[in-house]
Amino acid sequence: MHARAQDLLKLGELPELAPPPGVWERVLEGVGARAAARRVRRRVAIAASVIVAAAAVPLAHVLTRPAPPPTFTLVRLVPDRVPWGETSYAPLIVESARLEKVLAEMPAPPPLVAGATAGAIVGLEDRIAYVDAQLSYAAARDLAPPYRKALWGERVELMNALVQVRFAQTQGF
Amino acid sequence: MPNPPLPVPTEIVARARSGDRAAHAEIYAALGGPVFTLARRMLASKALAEDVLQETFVEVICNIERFRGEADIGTWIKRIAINKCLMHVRSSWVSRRAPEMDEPVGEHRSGLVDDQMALERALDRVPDVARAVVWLHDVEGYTHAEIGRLMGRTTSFSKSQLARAHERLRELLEGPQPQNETSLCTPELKTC
Repeated sequence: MHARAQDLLKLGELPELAPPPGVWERVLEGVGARAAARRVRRRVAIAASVIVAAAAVPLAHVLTRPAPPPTFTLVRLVPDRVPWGETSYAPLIVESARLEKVLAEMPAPPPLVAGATAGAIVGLEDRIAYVDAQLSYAAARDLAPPYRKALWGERVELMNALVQVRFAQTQGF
Repeated sequence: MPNPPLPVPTEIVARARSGDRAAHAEIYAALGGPVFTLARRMLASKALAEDVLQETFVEVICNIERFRGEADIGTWIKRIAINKCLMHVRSSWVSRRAPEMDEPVGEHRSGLVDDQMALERALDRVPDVARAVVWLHDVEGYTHAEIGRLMGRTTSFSKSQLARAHERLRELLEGPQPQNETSLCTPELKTC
């Protein structure tokens, strides 16, 4: 039996799909992880303010002397990792996004970069791109959540390493 | 204009805005299905649709205190989901997926369920952007101008994508059209 063009009009009559089981639990985990990340960011901001304020008083006494090399006050720029449970990879996605944001907010690198540092950064970025390609394949092929969880875990590890290297770079190493 | 809003009692919305987790769960129970359906139809990937469903409700719960009630909450949530779907549609790896097969999907159909399954399979084989456009236009009720704005493109772009989607669906459901019936303009479907 051949369909008629009217079939095209029946898109709206396709049955509603039930949400897959377990998504609501992952939503709650994601909300919890985001709240935890927000708390960490708040603590980092407070700590940074305290450090800046504490450094301001002694600085006022040495203004007449040649300025020493700037001591970076973003000691806690790289916050503690957010703990996550074992049941899904939702918190890993949140953590990965948070690390992307931390990277984006870092100061621009100095114009002259040590070769070893530049090599490390490029290597990490290549590995992240490779994991991203695997994640894309996993999503396109509906691969099992444990596989995707492992990939997201690897991505977070690599992002953490990249943040550490970039942080060291801003410190002049 | 988009579809009529999905009903969620205002009392539940008010409780949700004050952080009541049970109210959040009630909203998910009412709208999780429609949002997952929307994402699954627009993206043609169960895994991606699942991710969009999850990301949408994380976003909803984290930002519900900012929801002022000017629109229906169902419309607000669906808009968030649509934006997330379109982010996936725009992402480069989606557009690099292997081209789908050309065989008709409507062979041996004998009833409503078979027709719907064939239509679902056909929809999965429509190119990503065209599929998103046909769903937004034919089911969600968005105008071409609205779709163009959502996708950062023109009204004409939406119209051409819709015509492309209808043509592809017709090919997949009926097989290739005779030469004199392959016009992109199908008045009964309001594509022109």
